[in-house]
Amino acid sequence: MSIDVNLERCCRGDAAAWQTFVIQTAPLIATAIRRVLSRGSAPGRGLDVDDAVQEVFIRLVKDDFRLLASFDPGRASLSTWLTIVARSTTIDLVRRRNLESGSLDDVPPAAIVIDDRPDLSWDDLPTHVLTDRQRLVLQLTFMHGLTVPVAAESLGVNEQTIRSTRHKALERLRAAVFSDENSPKTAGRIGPDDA
Amino acid sequence: MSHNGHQPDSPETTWSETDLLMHLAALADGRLDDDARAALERELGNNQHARLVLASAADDAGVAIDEAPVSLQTMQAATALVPAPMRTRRAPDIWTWRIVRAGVAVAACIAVGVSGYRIGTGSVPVTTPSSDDLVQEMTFGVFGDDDDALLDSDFAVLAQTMLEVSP
Repeated sequence: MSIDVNLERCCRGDAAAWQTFVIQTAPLIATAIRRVLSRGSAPGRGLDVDDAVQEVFIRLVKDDFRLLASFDPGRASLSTWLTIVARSTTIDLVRRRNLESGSLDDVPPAAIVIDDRPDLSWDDLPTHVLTDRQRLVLQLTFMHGLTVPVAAESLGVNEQTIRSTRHKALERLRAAVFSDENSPKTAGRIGPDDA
Repeated sequence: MSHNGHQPDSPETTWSETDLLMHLAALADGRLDDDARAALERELGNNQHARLVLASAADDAGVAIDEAPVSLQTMQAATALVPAPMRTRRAPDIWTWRIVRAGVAVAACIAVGVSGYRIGTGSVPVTTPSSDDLVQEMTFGVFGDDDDALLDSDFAVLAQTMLEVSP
């Protein structure tokens, strides 16, 4: 999608430039929001898409356009950046709504840490033995339920890298768990079959 | 660091919200160098919200971005978000218009003045010598015989008054 907007004028408060920005980007933002909300079994339930779109624009102009002014066209395309902002805002909205209502019914899985696996508690694991990438790969594949191809796509690496990183991470964890006599509750909780 | 309500897994997270979003976008576009990627992976390991955003975006990888319809009301509300003080930047246009209007008003006044002057000077030919008859007619010819008696009585009253007030 091509967006032809003068962001500098937008950030200076030019009403015409801002109107052009809104017209050109609102559909893209709405699309990103709908996809976040549709990941669950109840698409869009509990959160109005238009409200979320409005929240994204508010976030962009807040504090004298602080967020919009932070966009660097040399590092990413505007459309990609806007979809990231829209997803972040939507996830935040869903989480806040969840906290206010106390109900999980309206919250799509994307906004919930998937931690319903029996006998698996991240906090119980000796994650200090892992590298940053190993810890992240385990979090994405176990806690957030990403498949290997999706995790590889999201991190911009090939699938084999994800598999080998996860394998080494599990080896380290297993070694750390079985060598730690003070942590019997973590023994045998995680293994290759869990992936 | 604060992520605007985002809940980091660890107090070790030190990235600003703007940095995080920019890095995530750069990661999605494949524009991160090795150092930046390593730093982002470290941040992701400590930031649950960032991982959720990443996981959400990953699901749509390779899917073409279409355009979802947005209600007119939402578009209008978003357009109106531009802060009011910013709109005062259009003040130069207003002042230009005011200056033009003032100039037109001054020009109109001058035109009326000049026209009036010309009409006035044209109606009284002070530079044209008048004949004695004409002067006589303009100064005294306006009075008829009936008016002479009235003038005489006025002069009589005036003379009497002057006599009374003179020492």
